[in-house]
Amino acid sequence: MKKSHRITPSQPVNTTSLGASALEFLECLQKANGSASVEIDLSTTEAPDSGTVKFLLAAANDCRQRGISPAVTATGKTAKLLRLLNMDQHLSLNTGEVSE
Amino acid sequence: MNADQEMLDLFVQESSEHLQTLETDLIALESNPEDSALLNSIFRSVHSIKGASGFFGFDPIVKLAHVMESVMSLLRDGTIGADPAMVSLLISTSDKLNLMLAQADRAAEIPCDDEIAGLQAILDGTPLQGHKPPASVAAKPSAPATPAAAAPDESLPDVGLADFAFDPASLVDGLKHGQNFYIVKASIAAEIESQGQTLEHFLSETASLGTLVSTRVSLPENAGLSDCEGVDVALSFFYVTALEPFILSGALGLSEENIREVDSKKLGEWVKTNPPRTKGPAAPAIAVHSEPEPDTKSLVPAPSAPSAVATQAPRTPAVSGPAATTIDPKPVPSARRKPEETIRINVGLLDSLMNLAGEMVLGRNRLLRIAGRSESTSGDSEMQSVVQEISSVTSNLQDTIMRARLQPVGGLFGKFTRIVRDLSQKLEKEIQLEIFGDDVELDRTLLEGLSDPLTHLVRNSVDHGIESPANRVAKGKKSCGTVRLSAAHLAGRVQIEVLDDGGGMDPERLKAKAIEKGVITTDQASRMTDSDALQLIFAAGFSTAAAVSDISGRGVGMDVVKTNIEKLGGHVELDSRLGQGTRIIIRLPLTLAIVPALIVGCRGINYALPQINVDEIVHPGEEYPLKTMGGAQVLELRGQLLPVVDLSELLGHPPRESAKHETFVVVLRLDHLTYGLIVNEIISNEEIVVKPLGRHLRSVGYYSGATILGQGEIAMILDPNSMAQGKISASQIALASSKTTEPVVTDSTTRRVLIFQESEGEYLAIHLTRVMRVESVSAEDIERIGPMECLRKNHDSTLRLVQLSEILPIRPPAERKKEFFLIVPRPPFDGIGIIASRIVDSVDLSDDQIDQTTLQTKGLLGSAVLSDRLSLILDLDSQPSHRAANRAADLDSKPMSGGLNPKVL
Repeated sequence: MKKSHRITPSQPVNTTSLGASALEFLECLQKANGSASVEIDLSTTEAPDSGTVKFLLAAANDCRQRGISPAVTATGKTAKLLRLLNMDQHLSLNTGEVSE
Repeated sequence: MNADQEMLDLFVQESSEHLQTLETDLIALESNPEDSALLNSIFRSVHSIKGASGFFGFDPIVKLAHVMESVMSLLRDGTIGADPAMVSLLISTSDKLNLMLAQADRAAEIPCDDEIAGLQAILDGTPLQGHKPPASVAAKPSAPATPAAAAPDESLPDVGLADFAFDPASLVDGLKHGQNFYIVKASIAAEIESQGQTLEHFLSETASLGTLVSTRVSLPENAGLSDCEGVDVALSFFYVTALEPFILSGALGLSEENIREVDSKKLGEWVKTNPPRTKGPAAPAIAVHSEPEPDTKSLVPAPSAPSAVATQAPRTPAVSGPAATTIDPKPVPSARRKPEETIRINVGLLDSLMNLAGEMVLGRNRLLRIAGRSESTSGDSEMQSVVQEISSVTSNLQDTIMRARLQPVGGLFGKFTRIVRDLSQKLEKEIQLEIFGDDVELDRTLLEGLSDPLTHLVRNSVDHGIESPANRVAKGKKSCGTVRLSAAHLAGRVQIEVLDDGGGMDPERLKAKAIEKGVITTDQASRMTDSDALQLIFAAGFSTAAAVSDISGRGVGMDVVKTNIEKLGGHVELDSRLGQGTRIIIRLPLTLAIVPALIVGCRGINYALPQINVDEIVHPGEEYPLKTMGGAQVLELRGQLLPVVDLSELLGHPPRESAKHETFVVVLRLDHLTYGLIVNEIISNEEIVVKPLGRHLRSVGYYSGATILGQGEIAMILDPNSMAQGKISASQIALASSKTTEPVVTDSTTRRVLIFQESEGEYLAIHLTRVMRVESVSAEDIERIGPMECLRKNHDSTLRLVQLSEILPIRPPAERKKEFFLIVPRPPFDGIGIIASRIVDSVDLSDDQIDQTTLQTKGLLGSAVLSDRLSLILDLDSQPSHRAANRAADLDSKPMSGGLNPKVL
């Protein structure tokens, strides 16, 4: 059975940090080869912007190229934004909230 | 004016603005034919003109704009490429649109068949003077197909909806209520975040104005983390709202081009045939992507799918192909203005407001005077407090209205791109026009007055200044010449500069031409410096052009330029280096509405003289005798004979019975002449509100306007130029250029200096020719901004106080007095006030008397013994801190800047 791999960027992911976060993610993705899914932990990203969205879209594409399923953990504003963009319909979004 | 006429006026006004943008963009397109921002902007302008013209039924305009818009659409999509011939055709079409809009009801009479035929040829793919054929003929390089275009779903009411997944049920409510349906597309970073708005806020705002049926974000196909940095995220959404397109555009801060309306009628019919699904697994839904439904909630689409995310998980087979959305590599940032932030105001209404504010200032001045009197008698502190409050509010009100009248010079500068382009083509020259400081603002009256003089100057630079490419290359220059047009704020004034790197002017040639035309004599020419010779170009009828062209060379330009600039309260400076280029500097006040003035009295009537022209005030007597020479009055002033005009005689006052009355001579300086004006009284310095003269008074010479003084009485504003014209004879001018036979001072380099003290220690002196005025101020009136001390004069004029002990090696005062003096230098240093605790004297000083060796430091010419005291002589031009806050500093390094570049402390 293939495992799930969790990737936690070392800093909030946004336009400013996109380059560094991308490199970091790609390195982690190498290690995640063979995993069924990758969970991207964006819980430290409190002020999302187009860089955050871009990161997720590009990361999803990279995962797809490797046959890996991406999921996202996000809270607060980031979770709200992903919902507003309806990205939660396609990314497995874990908000850490207790479901009612 | 009825509503239709108002609408029509608004249409003409808006269309003119679109045309202005269109022309500027088209010219820029010539050098950047692939600039997508420009192409988008041009498309928008044409589209707006077409739309508005259609509303008013101006069919000929619509027809021409439509075919131009079609061509722009091909250009924008990259289907065809722009070449010079095509851009010229587009510019010509823009000109025709301009003509048509100028007389919209007679637009059909403007011939535009050539333009339509040319544009149609482009659309048909027929080669037109070398332009690229459209994509239907030529290979299209890299325009990715949109999903809809790749595999349009015929069943959908709008192919654009293929990008979205949604349930028809979500549309029913909007259809019932007659709402509008839109597909909105925007690049997130370039069009949303660049306007200072977060994506989250944008979406929340959007959701509050309607219903987001379906949202989609995407990256260009296959963009992964290694290559995503340079691309933008495309956002698109299917949206229902009650708002009309133009309101929605304003509300979202996007251009109308980003918003496309979906035909609600077709949508309604489609919903009827695709009934809303009911809950259950077999219910139909509209989905967009070809990727199979994921078996988990995670996104694991097929490897070939693009990195795009649509709104709803597809539940049925997709209706379209690849779902990547093409994004513009250089999206146009749209102006992010909410509709309520700007409104159009009739200029007449603004002028009326300005007049009323002026009246209020005058009333306030009188109130202050009355309150000042009552304070000394009754000491009513409550009354004083109210008066101060009214005074403060009045100043703020006036400030605000003044600012509303200011407009950026960019609007004026913009027209020169076209002028320079057309002239350079006509003259077969290569010229690049550089524009700096187009956001600098000026009063609209000044802007209007500046248009013609500036046109003369730019045309002259292009025609006479810049050499032909061959000549330039032969001189070792680049074949392409540069004309630089710049604007900057400087010491409370606006400085406009026209600089070219052309051939410059030859002083000897100017002298020879002036002698030939009888403007000067050979003797006068021999005594002229190069700098004086350059000023000859301002003489009426003077031109050195070998041939008169329709561009310039008739010699009616530069004197008109100078006269017009002076009428605006400004002045012109010129510097030119043979072989290097020419720089012309225009200095203008920010506004003409309020000016500092010297109030003088003549036979009991008060008059105002613009301070800018007042050089000094002299009490004639033994030291400065008034003489009559050759039947004309002259003032002997420090070895020079000044022509003098008696204000009382000039205005036709009857001669006084008693010959004994006090006399002052106000020395007035014009660009070409300095003369004295005899008055009886010096009343005060005031900042006056200039009121135009009524029609019945306009024919009366000598006055440039009227004002109301603090005491409430009306005072006429004297015009120093008109007073000099005709009243100062040629013989007086000749006398003025000669020295007195009994020289008070024989040395020609002797000048008057003002001796003053900042502290009890040292004595300082400044040449009086550099001093505009000395005013007494109270410490209470000084305001602090950070480390700076300022004295507010009016809305646009603030004096920055300068304490010389902070700049020069002199002792600072132990404490500042409650009342002290400010020495305000002449432009370009008139933005500062030098603090003086005491004005000591004014004496003559010869340059030979200045010891330049003992005390050598920047800011000082040296020292001299004046009135038995060692005094330090100031040198404004070399003050160490002059360069601070000088927006023109970037021009300092240019070879032409030399001694002309003004600096402020």
